[in-house]
Amino acid sequence: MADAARRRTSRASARGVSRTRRRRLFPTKVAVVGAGQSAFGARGLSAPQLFFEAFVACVDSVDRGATALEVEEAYIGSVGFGGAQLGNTAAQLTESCGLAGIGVRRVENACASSGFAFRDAFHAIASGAADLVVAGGVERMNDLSAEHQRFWLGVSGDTLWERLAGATFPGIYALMANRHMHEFGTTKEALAACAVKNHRFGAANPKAQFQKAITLQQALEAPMVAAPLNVYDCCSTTDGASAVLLASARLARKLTDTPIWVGGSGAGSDLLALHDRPTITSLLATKVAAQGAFRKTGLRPRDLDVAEVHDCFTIAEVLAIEDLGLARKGEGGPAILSGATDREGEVAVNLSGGLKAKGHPLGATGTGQVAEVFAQLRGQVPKARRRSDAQVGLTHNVGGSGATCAVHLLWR
Amino acid sequence: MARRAPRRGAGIAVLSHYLPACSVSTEVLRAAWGGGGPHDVTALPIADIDEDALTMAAAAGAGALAQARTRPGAIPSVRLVIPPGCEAPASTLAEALDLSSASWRTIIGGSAATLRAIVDAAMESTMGGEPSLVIAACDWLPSPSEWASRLYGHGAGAALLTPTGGLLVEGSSFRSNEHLGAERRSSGDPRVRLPVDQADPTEPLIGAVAKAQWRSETSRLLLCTPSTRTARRLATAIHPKALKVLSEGIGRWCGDLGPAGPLVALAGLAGSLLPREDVVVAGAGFGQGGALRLHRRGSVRATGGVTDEASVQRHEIDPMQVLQQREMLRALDPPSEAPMGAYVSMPAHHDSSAARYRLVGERGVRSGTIHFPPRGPIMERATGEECTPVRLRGTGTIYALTTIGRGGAPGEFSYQQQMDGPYHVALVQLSEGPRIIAQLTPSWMETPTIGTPVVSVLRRLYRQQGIQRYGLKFTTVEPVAGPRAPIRDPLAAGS
Repeated sequence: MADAARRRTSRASARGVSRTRRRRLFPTKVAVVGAGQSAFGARGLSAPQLFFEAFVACVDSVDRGATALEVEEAYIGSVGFGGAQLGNTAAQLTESCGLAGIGVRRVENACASSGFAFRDAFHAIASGAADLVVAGGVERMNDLSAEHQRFWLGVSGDTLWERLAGATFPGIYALMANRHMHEFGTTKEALAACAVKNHRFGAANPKAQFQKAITLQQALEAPMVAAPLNVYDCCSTTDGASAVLLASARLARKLTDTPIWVGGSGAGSDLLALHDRPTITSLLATKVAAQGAFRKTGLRPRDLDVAEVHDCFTIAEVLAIEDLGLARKGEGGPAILSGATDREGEVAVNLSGGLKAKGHPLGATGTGQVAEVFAQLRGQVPKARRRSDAQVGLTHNVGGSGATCAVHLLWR
Repeated sequence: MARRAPRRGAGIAVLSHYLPACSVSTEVLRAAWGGGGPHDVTALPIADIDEDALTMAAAAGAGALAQARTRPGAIPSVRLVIPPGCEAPASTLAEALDLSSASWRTIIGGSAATLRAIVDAAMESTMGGEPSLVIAACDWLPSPSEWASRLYGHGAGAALLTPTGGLLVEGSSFRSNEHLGAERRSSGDPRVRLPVDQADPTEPLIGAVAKAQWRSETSRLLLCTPSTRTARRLATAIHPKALKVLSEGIGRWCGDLGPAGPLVALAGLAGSLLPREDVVVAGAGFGQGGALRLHRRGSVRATGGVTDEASVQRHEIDPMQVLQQREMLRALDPPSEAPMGAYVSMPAHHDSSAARYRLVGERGVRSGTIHFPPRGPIMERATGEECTPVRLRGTGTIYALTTIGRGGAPGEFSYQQQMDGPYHVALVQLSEGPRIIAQLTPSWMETPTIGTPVVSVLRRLYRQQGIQRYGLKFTTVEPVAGPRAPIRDPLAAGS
């Protein structure tokens, strides 16, 4: 609690500083004025239909002038799962939203595709090149047979060695978990507690893929996927899309009274293959991206209220908490067990249900996280998963097993 | 009778063999398939699901090369003998053994073909003055009806012949069975599986043994036959005194190892041969009978040979289930017509074959730092120093470990998982420093822990578009404690 008090004091003092210093701490050049997502799950809709659903939700969330929006550019994240429309994906998707004619491109960085699409959109506004852009993502993963899915899962890992060893991402993250347990004594109970927490929030999220709470016992006794990770430690395959509207400060104030400012954007990368990395219990890309994002704002991890972190596996949430500075190295598991990452804990982590429960439609996840933080900061989520008086939020979007990462700070 | 002095010529200097740790009980086989087969063979060594003629040949060949301490480039000629229907691409094996510069000949046949290959290699070595390698492997999967009359075990052997080899190839004789020869000719396919036991195999064999000048007073007789009963029948036909040497046969639990039989049996016998003692090795298969007389004139390096079944503890597998599954595994491809998100093309696979089959990495010439996998000019640029290829020992310890369960396997390995169940994948910290990711084999081993010493072995990975992909897996150095601890062959560890 003492830490919580310090955090609040820190943020308050930041607010109390001079206007110039506040500008530096809380830049107001780029704002999110609208954000939305489709329902995640096994949807049976085409990728354009999914993206249309997300885009409509996004436009509907804009307070004023939604019908007169003049989007200038679009940045669409997608892995292209299934190969149905690998080329010109962005044109296919934006066409469904009546955006044909503007500059579009697909951004691909595995599961961090739309996190990087959001970063590119942020740069477009921050540089003055555009005033209103859309960043989004889409993935359709459930239209393939189980056998064909297995050929597409793990395409973002190291193909030449990791894949030929018979490992896709469950196996790769299981190796990280195994080593983390060995080095820091992280327990299976801590991983299970993470799954329980995220499923509890997923149960309160009408757009989540799994809207069902689970017990610790269920989480511990589920069938094994890649030891020590079981079914409840792993995210599922998901259909879904998300879209975010970013605007310049001038335009943002016209469109809404409650713009969510993009305070900082950071990105990092790491060696693709796990066996090449000096350590496998920490993601360098996360650390670099977080440093970049925090440096540009002057905020510190303890200033955060909410964080949407990339929990494709429960161990990934443990790593994220540690690498983002929300817990000390090796203490990610105990932090989850202590409730420090729960709704009213030090920093509420994955109030949407995370990738675990909300779902993980690869290319749509990054901007889906932004949509959640956008709603949290505006207080527009059900009470069961709403952080009270949330003012500063973070999104953390990882590509594959950590080869790429984008981190963004948002505040209101 | 005074013996004449042995002729000059090439002889076997090194013998090596590999037998898989899995076995099937012939009793279970008979129960499942309605009897048949020789009754004194109790168990057969059987290749595990990720082993085949090529991987076993690689293990035996690597063992021979390791014992010979010969530079691979010094061996100009290799003969590979496999039975009909077996697959062992010589180009892959050559890469695995670093013998790509040698001249390779693949010979299809049984144990007589192996004996013939030894004679040919000896002649070549005598004339050329250079070593010559013979490798034979068998992973034949007979149909249940074939099993009923003849039992085939799996294994591989290798012999390195040099001009000064201690086991001189002194004489030989080969006969073919007219009946079987005619049948092969009429089929038009030299690789056709012949009904080998429709004719009496003793006919060509007896003649060959006689021609090889087996003398009951001075020579040992090694009969490569599917059972001791057949051996006894043959021995009686050859000479009454031949019966007393039957204990030197392949062994009660091996059955017939096909072309690998003579080399495996010789590897077991070589250690007990007295100086200046003779041994006649005889074998028959696929219409041919052959006999070879060897004379011990010097030292022969050999790995331990076949022992009796009581001294080995093996991993028993259900023959019906495993053999049928393995047959299916070989017949089926994953759905290659599907759009494959992650696909390793054959050229991409071949590009890194030295690293994949032999762990060839890179060493910085100034710093001595080892890099693996190798990256060529990229690494040189990154480190600012020239890098030279270096073969890593293939030993290391487990750095991190997982067991891939149902649903966790990529498409390439989904068949393996369906048939063989969960498998272990480990990050291995190699002795030289780098880490590498690989499967652990066998899949049925008790789950090891971080820090467990492991060693690399060549294994089947998966089959795609009709082409078998091979690569290195790792196995524990010491048998893992557990109720079904496998007996590992020391050769596999040395490779």
